[in-house]
Amino acid sequence: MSGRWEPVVNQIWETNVQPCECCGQIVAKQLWIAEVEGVERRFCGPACEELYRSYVVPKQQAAAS
Amino acid sequence: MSSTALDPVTLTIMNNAFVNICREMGITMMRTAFSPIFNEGLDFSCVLFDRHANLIGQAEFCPAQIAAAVYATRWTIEELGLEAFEPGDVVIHNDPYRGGTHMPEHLVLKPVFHEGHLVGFLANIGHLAEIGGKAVGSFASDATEIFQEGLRLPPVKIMKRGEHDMEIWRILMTNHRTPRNTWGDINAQIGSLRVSERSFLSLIDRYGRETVEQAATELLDYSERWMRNEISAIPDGTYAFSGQQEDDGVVDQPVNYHVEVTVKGDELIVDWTGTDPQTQGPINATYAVIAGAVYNAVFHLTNANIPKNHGAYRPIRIIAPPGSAVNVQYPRPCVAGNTESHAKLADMVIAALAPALPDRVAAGEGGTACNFLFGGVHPKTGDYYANYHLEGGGWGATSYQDGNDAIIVKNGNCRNTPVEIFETRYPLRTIKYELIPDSGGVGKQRGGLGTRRIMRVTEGAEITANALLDRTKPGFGAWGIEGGGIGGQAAIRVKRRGDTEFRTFSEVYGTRSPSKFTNVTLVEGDEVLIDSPGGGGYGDPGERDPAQVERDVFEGFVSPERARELYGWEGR
Amino acid sequence: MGIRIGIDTGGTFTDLIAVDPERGSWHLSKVPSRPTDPVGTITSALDGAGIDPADVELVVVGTTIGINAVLTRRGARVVYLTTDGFQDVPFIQRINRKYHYDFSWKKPEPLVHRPDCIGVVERLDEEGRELEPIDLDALERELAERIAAGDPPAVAVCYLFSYLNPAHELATRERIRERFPDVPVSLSHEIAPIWREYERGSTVLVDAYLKPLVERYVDGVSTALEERGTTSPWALLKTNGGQAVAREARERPAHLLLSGIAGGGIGAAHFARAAGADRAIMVDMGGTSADVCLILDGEPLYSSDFEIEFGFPVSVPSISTRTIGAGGGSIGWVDPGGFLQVGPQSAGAQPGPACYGQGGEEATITDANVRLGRLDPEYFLGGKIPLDPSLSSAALGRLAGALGTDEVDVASAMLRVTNENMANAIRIVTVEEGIDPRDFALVAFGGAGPTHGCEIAESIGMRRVVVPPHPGLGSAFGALSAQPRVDDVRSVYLTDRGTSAAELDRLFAEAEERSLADFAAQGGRDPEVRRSLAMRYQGQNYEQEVPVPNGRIDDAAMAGVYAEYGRLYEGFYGYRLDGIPVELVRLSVVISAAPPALPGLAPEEAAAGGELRQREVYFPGQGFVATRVVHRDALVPGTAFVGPAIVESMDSTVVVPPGWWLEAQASGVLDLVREEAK
Repeated sequence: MSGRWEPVVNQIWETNVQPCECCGQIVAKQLWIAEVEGVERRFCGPACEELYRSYVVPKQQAAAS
Repeated sequence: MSSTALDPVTLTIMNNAFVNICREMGITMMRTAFSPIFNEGLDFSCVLFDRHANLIGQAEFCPAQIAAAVYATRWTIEELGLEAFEPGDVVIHNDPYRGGTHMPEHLVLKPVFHEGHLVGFLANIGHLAEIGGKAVGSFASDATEIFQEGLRLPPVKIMKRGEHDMEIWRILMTNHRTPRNTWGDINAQIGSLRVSERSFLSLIDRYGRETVEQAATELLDYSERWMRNEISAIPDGTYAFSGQQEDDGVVDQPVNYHVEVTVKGDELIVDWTGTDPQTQGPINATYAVIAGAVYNAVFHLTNANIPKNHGAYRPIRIIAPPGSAVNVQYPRPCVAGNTESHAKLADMVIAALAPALPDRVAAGEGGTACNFLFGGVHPKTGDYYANYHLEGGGWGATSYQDGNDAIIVKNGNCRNTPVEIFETRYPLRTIKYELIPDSGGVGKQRGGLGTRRIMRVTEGAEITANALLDRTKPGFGAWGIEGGGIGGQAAIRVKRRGDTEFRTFSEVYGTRSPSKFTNVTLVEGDEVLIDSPGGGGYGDPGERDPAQVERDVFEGFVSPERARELYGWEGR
Repeated sequence: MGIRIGIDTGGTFTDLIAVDPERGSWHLSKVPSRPTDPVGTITSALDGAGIDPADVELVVVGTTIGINAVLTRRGARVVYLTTDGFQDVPFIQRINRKYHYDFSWKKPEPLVHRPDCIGVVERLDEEGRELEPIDLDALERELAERIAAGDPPAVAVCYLFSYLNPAHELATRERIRERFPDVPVSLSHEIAPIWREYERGSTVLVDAYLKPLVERYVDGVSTALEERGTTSPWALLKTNGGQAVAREARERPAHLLLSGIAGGGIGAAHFARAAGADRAIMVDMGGTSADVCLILDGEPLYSSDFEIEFGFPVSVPSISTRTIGAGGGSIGWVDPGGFLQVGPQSAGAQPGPACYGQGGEEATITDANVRLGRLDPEYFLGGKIPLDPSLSSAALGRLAGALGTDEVDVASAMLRVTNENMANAIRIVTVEEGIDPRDFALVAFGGAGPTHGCEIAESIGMRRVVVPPHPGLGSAFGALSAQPRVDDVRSVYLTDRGTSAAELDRLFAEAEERSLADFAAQGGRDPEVRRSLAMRYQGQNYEQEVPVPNGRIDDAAMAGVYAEYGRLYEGFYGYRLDGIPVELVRLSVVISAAPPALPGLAPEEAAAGGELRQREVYFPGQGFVATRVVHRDALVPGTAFVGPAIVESMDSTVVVPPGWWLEAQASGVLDLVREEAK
């Protein structure tokens, strides 16, 4: 795992919270940024990065082939 | 914190005490709240968190909020930061994009301090009957964006250091149609926090901060362990199911859902990839709604006594693609996702697991609460009123018994309003309230029956009505399992004064959806018919015990004609 | 004054207590119940007492025959007459479910079949005005068809809004009496004049369902008493804890449903008053379950929302008793998460706790009490049931193995878990009433109540426990001390804005006249009248009962009542909502008579066999300590000592933990107070 934490910084007019790219949960305070298959992705934490690698990516590959 | 583990007895006692504190909170709210959906419908949840924002106690009042109570609270604490909380503060929040279910449900949250130390949080979520927006009762079945659904509040302090912030209150009062109810309901929510805070502090007095905190941590592990044991007992594999809703209220075409449940050792992955994109209309689910539906389904299939804390949720991984109909993003509407979509989504997870757990699952339930909301000025009193009306539908059969007749959807546990109370309060007279024979899906075990209700607007009254139903079109009935048949259709129709028959609202009022519409005006003598759907059947109807068929015919649950046709009945 | 007899017919035993107030003497006895012969059970209890029938002034009987008939579905065929369009209400019910996550739960089955539900053409509105006249001829035709079709039925009538205007129900009864004089009829507005058609209908269905059975029972007991030469009237204990002469009581069987349970609360209130504890909580803990009842101002708490099972209400004024699955037979087990749990499963009487030696393998609360020295294996139920402590140890050892601990630890843990479960349940009961329990006394009834009473009290923060004489006979005491009582409770729909004091004055005067007549008919004398209104802020769904002064009600009196409402509300919830209209939803008039003065039950001199002994008894945090053991008969009034101590008697064992003071009172009550509270 090679990610890093990044705080969520919003302007006063930015009223919305970001979802995790794996599970879809809201990320209120800090994002876990990690590169998967050459693409930088934003997760709610390392556990979702792991799930993305172990479940989502193989599923997408199976669907593509 | 000490590192030695607490003895199991102290843990059991703590677990029971945490739940009890939440139950005390709930009973207080039930007794003091104003909205009928809140005090009679029990549409609220009560939770206790440790100071690290982990859910440690939850009382069971409303299944729809089992996830929202966790996520809305947790994310509010994270967003504001622990340092933001002072003794006597109360935060309020109803933002569906921040862990809420839909906007009528408001979270209030209070930090608890013991001798100056933050020891945890008490919170509850309650459904306010009216929060403004384009439709009375804040149920705009044809809304296309969040702004039409009422007043949205990010997490803000409604009390600061024990004092009401009247500025926030005034904004609320100005934007809701029945502000007096809002005043009563939110005061009930805040008052119940105070009652439960008393009990929580007295528990800490008796056992000490350290013990209580350590117990909280260990209880999370305990629930997680238990849930993992339950999941391990399910055969590994991937199980899929697809389901539909007939329309979203705005576009007249079905919305498709797809779920794949992967059981891998002691973990579940519940993946909704493949579900349609978020809809224009308000049937979208928020993250808290889809998570709640998944937990609801899993709790139906596992041991009922697992303490409902954060630990029990850990082994369940949910994938809800952002921007899909199961994880709505700003600014799409979502008021109906919580009420209308939850039950069907939960039933999909249950149906998916049918091959793995044939004796634990049930066929699909009615799955629509037949939401009918109306308001107006009462001709007798001149007062403005708003009401949220629900119906129970048939439940699905299991491998061992028929489904129950006329029961509320599994995301709620509301009671119906007695006709005598209903007519005392609202200018609508009930003409009929009865079971619909033959509405249960056929099977070795039969689905439960739906109900029919007919109401007539009384003298001098004018009513503005909204409706939100599903399963009114052929083919959209509750699904059967293992060869069981689908349940009977729902319906909502109108007979204007002087007309001779009931017609759909699309025919009479030109609403886009026949089952989901807003701001329709009904006047004296108009009649409304609401049929709730039946439940799905289980197994081959040819295998049904003849004695059960005989009893069904005797009681009139199944007509003689249908009994002959579907069950080969040879009586009479 | 002659002899007064209280009889409680329970499932296993029938208890009898007789008192001769002139001589100040008591008689107590216990005979096995014969569920198939309830009349015979009563006569054998009376025969066993050896009392001259001619000396008897009054016999009051508490009976479970009503509830048993409903639970086993052995009542009459019922035909249900209701407003046309609403025949399915008994089947639809309230659409909620007992558990959130349980597919196996089934809705309660109604006491009527669907073909026997007749829709009657008639309709009233929400103010009781007639919208559609009743079609009695059609009703008669439909009923004739049903009568011809099967077993002779009893009829239950429930029309919408009949609690506001009984005309249609009364006309129905008149027509049925004319044409079908043998068919018993129950009218919903008489049995339960409350709104909510399902609840009122369910209650009148129960009434009709029980009517033939209760009539046979009352006739049987009356005949048996006459044959034995008792000429005085006899009475039945009603669900509301009042007694009513049997010939009146049988007219409303729904009001007899909880006859067998009501005695506990009445008995507890009697002893709470005797001990000078006006605010108390009864804990009646037996073999399989425990009943909890609040006592406020010396009287048990009342409610009208009893349910036979979830979703099956009987809405008559009743002593509000909550049952919890915790008793001596409750089984300890390890849940799948690895925690120790106790109950609600119970070993019951068969096989019973492991120490009974009847094949019970699992460790129960009784086994834990034996292992910890709290119960004497040679003096359980006065030595009637010899216990084998080695079987307790073996069962506890197995449980301890599963938890990785030893049998003493597990026994102590079982008691803690049970006591805490009881304490939680009591807290819920008190929160529901808006009460802080800490300054209440705990009245310990039942075989196991006095064994656990002090430790349950400690968990809640209560400082006082009252142990009545013969705690195992609490319900029979209740029957004995019951007085005639009428609860006239009816739904109204009024507000502080729209209702004049004059109108309330008229409503109360009417209710009072009606209930005083009822009270006299049920055998009451020297009536005491109490009035109250149930109030809430408009929009709320639950009410607070507020007392209303007797006499003429004027504006000043009502202003006082509304002020009291605000005060009571704020007292518990910490805020009030001035300016919001107040609804009045229930009007109650209670007519009762002062409880009878009964002589004390304390031994006058220390009985033989009560001498001091000692044994090792386990207390949490202290382990086994040398503990004095005395017999209850040795505790003459004024005896006092500090725990640890054990007080044994034929039907119960009192555990006095360290730090608790015990004092024996002249009434026969043992008063236990936590030391720092003295």
